[in-house]
Amino acid sequence: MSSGPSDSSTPSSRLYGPAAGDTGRWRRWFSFATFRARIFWSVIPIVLALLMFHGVMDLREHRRLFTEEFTRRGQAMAGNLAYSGELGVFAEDRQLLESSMRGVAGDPDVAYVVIYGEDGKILAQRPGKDSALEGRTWELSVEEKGRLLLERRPMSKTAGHFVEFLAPIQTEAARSPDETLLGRLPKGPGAQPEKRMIGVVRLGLSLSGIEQRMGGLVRLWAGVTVVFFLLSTIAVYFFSRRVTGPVKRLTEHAQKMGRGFLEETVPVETRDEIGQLAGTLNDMAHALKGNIRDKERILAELQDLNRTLEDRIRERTAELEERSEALQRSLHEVRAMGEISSAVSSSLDLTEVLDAVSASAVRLSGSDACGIYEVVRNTFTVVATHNLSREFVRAIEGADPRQGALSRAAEMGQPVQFPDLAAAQDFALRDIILREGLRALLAVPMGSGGVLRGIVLYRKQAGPFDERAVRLLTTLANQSKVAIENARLFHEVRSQRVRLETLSRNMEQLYRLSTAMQEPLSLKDQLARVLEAARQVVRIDRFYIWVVSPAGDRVAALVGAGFSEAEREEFVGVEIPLADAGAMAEAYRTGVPLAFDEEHPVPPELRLAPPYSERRGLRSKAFLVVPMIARGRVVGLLTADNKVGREPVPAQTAALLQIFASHAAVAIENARLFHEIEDKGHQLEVASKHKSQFLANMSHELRTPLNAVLGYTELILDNIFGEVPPEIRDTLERTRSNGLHLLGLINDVLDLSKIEAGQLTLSLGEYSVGEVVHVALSSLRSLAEEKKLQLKALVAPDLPPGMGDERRITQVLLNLLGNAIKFTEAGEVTVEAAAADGWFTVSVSDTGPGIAAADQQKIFEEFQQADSSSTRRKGGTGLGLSIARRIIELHGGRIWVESSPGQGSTFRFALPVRVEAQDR
Amino acid sequence: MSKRILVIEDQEDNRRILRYLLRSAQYEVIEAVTGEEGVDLAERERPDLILMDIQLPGLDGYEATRRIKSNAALRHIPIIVVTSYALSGDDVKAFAAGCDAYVTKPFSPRQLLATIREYVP
Repeated sequence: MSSGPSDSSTPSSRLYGPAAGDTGRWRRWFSFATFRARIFWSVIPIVLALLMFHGVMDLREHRRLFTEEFTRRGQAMAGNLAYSGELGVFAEDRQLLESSMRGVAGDPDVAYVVIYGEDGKILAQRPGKDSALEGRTWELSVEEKGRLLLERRPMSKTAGHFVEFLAPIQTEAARSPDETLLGRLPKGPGAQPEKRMIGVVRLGLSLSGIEQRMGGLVRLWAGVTVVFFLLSTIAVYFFSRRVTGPVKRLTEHAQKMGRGFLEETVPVETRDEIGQLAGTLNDMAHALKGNIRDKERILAELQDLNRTLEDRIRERTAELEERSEALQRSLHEVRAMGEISSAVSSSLDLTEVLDAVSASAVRLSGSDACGIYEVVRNTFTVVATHNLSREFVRAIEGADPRQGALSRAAEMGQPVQFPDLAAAQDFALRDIILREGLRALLAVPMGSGGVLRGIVLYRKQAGPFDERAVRLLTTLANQSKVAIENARLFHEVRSQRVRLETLSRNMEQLYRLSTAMQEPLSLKDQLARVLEAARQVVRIDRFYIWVVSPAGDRVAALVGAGFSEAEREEFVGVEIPLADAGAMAEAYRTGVPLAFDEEHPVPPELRLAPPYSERRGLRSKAFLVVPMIARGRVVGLLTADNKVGREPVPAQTAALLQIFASHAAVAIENARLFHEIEDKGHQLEVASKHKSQFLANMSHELRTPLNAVLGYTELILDNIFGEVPPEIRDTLERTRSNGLHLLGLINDVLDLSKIEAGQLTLSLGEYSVGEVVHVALSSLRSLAEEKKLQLKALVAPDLPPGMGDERRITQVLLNLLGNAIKFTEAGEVTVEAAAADGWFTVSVSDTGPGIAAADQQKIFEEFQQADSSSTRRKGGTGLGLSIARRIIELHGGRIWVESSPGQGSTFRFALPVRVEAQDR
Repeated sequence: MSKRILVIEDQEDNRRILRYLLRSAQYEVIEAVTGEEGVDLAERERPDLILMDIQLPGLDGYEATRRIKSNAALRHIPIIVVTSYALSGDDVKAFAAGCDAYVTKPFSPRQLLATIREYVP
């Protein structure tokens, strides 16, 4: 039986169980590791057990049968013998007995026969040949006898190796032997003659026969079992081989596949699971093959690629190396340039820059010295040097530039070099340079705008300057040009900046000044500020501000700056009549600033007249007079002077001073105006107070007598003094109505006056529009009825409560309603009231004659009626509407009329529902 | 017993009118010409109502009203201020002084009586 490969490197071998080599083989058989062993150990024991079971059962059965037969035979034989020996025993005839015995003794199994007589006497005996019988006693035991007597039939017992059958020999008693020999009498049923035991037969049968036979059977069975066992084993072997064979083959195949041999296929022999597995394995092998082929292909491709890549890389590397070298070279150059650039841009100070440039030039070009020169108007100017001695510089500066290399280079427009100055012929500066210890020279011009400039490199060693050095120097020259330009620009910018700063400072001062002007300072303080500011900006020692009197006849000193205490005192309150004011008068007259200084002294006619000229502060020879003009009028003069008359006051300063002057003028003018306003204000207040007082008085004075008149009349009319006759009543009533009219007029006039004086104050309170309408209507109803006019009211329901002066509003409505009734001859007068969006709108419409458009505006003015002739007819002062308008406007509302001639009129007013404060 | 009304008014005519009016309405009339006199009379006579004019010589109507109203014994007497002062704020001043009602001149006699009857039925 082959086993699988035992190397544990491939996983498949592990399935084969433990151990390697032959030593494990037997163990394997006894374990359950292999398939075969498993089958074996499953099947064989069963088979064996079955066989054994069967065998045992069979043997037992046989044994039983044998024993049964044996026993039967034995018993039968014993019985027969007992029967046949009856006579012999009876007769005690040995020979008879022996002959009977002979028949029995022929049986192979019979070992011995013993026939006993009645008393147990051995009558005949045929001893067995068995060795086992040696020493045996043949006596019939008492028990045996007893039993036989009792049972009267054969019994058996074992005695060692034999089975004995004991049969009683019986006879029918009381017969003589002769009777017996003669024959038997037939016995009838029930007639049972008593039998008598006369002897015993002991028949010993040897079990050896049975045993032999059994032995034979056992051997047979054993043989069968063994044969079956072997057969089964072989069958199992072959069977399992049939199973494991293919499996092993498959396994081997799989292992081969695992190791890479994919070409062989497993023969698919059967259709069963093994076959399927084989098939599957084949498929797998195929797939793997394909896979591997693919992989190999890819590998080949990769290798190809790799090769190509390597080639490319090699190429590229070579390229790169080339490039890198080139770069290195450029880098050097660039670095050099960089140094130069940084030197050039490191500072805006030209000298620094040029020093740096010359230093860099020397270093980068490997020279020994460098000089940067400027040729201005035929002189050499050494701008910057590096490693050049002072003597050299001095010598160069003294030399004639036209002889220099630079001039030559500039002429030629390109760099010029002298590889060996010792050999140079017509070079004037040769010796100077040689003395310095320098033998080679390279000059590069960098002219810029008319000025010849250039850089010159020097070397101690003779020899030409290489291409690189020339290139370097040219670059340097260019860069320096730029640097110089920059430096120049920077300088310019800086000076501009200084100028700008000054300007801005001036502006600042002016600004501060104008803001200061707006502060509520006294005029003097304001002017003092102006002067202070001016002093800061203009750098003039002393200022003074003079104010021209309103009459224009004198100037008064108001404020000064820059004076000492003592000098100032001399000024306080000084008033100079213009006639004596000299230059100041002139400036005042012309409105043009005047300036005097050393070059333009004060002409005699413009000098200050004494005694003013003696004043210390006014004695200067160099001064400015600037008129301060506001609103086209010269309101004052600003004088500015230098104590010592040092320099002329520059024009710029004069201009600035004019600005300050105008500021001051504004301040003065403002102050004056302010005073005026204050005064007027006072006056107004006083006037207003008077007016109020007057109104109060008038009101009282006018009404008092009128009250009396009306009062008395009323009394009479009320019949206080008795019944009034009709004619008198009529007269009195007319009197009364006239009086009332007069009262109305007075009230109106007073109202208007109050309104004019701004004295009318609304007393605001809650009111109901409906109520107001109602009151107005009821007051005038009788009047309307008199004229047979219809009075209608259309008041919207649920009008909100209003806030306003109820009395005045009622007054307005009464006025409008009164007018409507007055001017309408026939028809109706309607009052409407509504509210919307927080406003009340009340209108009074009539069917009167209407009002022409031209008159519609007029009627709201005082004392105007559309037609003055109708005034007298209709009555009324013509004040009502204007008062009404004022009242409505005080409420923040509006009143207007809609009308056209012949169409009647509608007067409407609208006012806010709630007026919290009256509208001034 | 008829009710008594104190009239404090400096104008002769006005006093007369009031006198006639009030008497015709069955009131008894006491008259004072100045504010001070009015205050005295008020104290002495304890009228049922006072008609006070504002423009009075010496003590003006406001002050007189104040004085009367600050007098615990007289505080209960209703004071109706009667004046022809037209300037706004007069009514406010009058009420501030403590008056109970305010009537402007010229007054309607009927209305005045009606107002009086409110306080002195």
